[in-house]
Amino acid sequence: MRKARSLLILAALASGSALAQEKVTLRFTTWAGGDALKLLQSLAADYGKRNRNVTVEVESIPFGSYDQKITVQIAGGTPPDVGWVAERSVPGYIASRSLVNLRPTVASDASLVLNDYSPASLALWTRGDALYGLPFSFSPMLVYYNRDLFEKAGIPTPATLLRQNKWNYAAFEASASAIKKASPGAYGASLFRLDPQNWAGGILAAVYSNGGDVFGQDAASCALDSAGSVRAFELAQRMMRDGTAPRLGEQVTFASGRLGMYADQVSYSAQLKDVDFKWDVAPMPSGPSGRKTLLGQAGYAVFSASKHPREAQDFIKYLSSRAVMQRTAQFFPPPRRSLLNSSTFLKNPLISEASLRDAVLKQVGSARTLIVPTNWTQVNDVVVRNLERTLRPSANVGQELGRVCNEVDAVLKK
Amino acid sequence: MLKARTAAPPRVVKRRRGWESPWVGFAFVAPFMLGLTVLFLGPVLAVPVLSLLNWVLPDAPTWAGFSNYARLARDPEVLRSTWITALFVAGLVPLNIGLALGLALLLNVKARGVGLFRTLLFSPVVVPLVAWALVWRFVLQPDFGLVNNLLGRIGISGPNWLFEFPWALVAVIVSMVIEHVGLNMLIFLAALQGVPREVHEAAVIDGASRGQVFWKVTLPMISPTVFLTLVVTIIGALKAFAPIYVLTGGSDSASVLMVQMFKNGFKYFDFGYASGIAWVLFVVMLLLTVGQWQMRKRWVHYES
Repeated sequence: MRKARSLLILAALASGSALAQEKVTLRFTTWAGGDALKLLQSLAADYGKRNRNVTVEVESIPFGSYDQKITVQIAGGTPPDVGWVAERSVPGYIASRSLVNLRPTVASDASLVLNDYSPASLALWTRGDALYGLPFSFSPMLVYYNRDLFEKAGIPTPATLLRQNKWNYAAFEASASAIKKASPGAYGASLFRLDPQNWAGGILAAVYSNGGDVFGQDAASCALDSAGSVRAFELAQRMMRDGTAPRLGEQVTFASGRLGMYADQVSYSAQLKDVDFKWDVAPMPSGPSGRKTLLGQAGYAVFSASKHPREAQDFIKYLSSRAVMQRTAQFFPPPRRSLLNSSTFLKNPLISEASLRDAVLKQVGSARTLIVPTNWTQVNDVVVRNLERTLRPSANVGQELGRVCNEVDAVLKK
Repeated sequence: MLKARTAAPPRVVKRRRGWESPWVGFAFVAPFMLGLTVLFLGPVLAVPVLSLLNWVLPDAPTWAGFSNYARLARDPEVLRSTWITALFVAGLVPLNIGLALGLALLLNVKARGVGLFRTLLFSPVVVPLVAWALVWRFVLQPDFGLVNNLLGRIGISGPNWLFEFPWALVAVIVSMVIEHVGLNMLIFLAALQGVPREVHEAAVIDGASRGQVFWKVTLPMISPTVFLTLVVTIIGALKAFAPIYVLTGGSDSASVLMVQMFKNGFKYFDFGYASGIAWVLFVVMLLLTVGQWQMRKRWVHYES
């Protein structure tokens, strides 16, 4: 009797451990918050239902400390299995061999048709034949504008100017100035984010459209002191000097209703769900070199140190499938061309179809991704440290950017 | 009853002897010692070793000898930060100690409502550092901030406080002094109340003026306390980081050495180099403290 019981217990233990071996838990990291995070959580749950042996835990880490935490976890031997990777971090992760080459998996899967991805969306992730991630977001910088403030100033909106072919940086500056005049408690426009660390957001669209750049060929040298870049920073300096744009450190957001125009991506609209003013989106203005906005990109990647690379890659395949990307498209303009033009993407609960066509679809073709060197964090810090000096009312912007470039070039040579 | 009373003493003695064993004491201290060793002593001893390595995550560490220190001596950013740190300490410490002593003297009276003032002045000490800094970020906004708004009313166009040199340094110092001054004030108050009234009375009877009483009687009597607060405040100033980083976001104008250490260690993951900066800071703090300890004989009286 006793023998039989202990045998039973042994059998139960054995079957239990067998089950535990089969059961896989994937850690999936993201910097999404709010509704986007909720969507990812429900997608992870869906995946778990289809694959009984896999549980996906979604872990949200704030964007500001995302790479910091992931790097420490990789070094500590406890990396996430799957995660979002932002475009500025891709070169660093690839250089340190932290990402898995997805090409074999992707090539073997007919449903993923890489041809459907816009070629520009894959360049960042490709090294030779290897593919280190699959983008899920292909998001151009666009202009959010406060229609109430435009109405109060009695001036045409960016949408109207666009139709008249007059939506350029001169019009942007003039509109901002008119808004400030009509509403002294507000600002006309801002080309910068609240956090100076994110300076590259709006100003880069102006830099590109003025014929400037951040880096020269292969991100090997600094080009922030080129004529086009200087023109864009001079525009920002002028607007801050005239009081039409908030100076660095001013805690004013577009959602507060005190900012006429603001550059960000479609995903920012999630923060405008409950605001009590009317707003819309438009493409960035055009400059002497045309309308060339900055393209934000983010993708899914599998970390090399993951203990379950097979399951992790399978999860990425699920996330990148047409059906799932259709659901994430509400927040992230999809890199799959068949979806970008589809009705699902253009049916956004907050933005009209016409505005999305103008601000996203028509801009994507000429938009540019900022390809950065592996030590981007250091380069970024050099710019941030000097930003106030460069934009000060009395500053000689060209000279200051020249100094920034000397410092950046020294960092790039390291 | 009687039986119990006679039986009790040996049992009590026996038990107490058991509890008084040094091992019991060690057992009580062990959790703390374990924490201290793992979380404090270990890292403190590891830092000088790490500073001799070339270790940038996610790569494995390699031996670097003193090259991190050679790099420190040539790094223009670090040299600049050294100056900023010196200015920061030179600005913060006298202001903090002077203000704390002044407030303690003012509040060292028996009057109605003095308790309220003491509480008010002490209350910033209990506010979390980062919350304090976030509020100041709003107060010091360039256009719609409280400070520049008030300045604007009297016709002064204020600077962009948190970004321009030297205003960023001034802003950081003032905000930190207001946050911390209450603690030093409290320590001074306690010391002042320890000064016997008779000594003051004797001095006054001898014809000493109020100034003389302060400089020749009160200050010497509380000099051990002044010494203590001076040492602690200097160390606190040298290792101040969170409020500075939250307020200025690492902008050049207030980038002290701790900010450099944080950036190199936790943004660039250059642990070897960051450890070098940390170790230099530690040695500077040690030398300053030892130096003050030596000099105290000249001005600290009435040490027990």
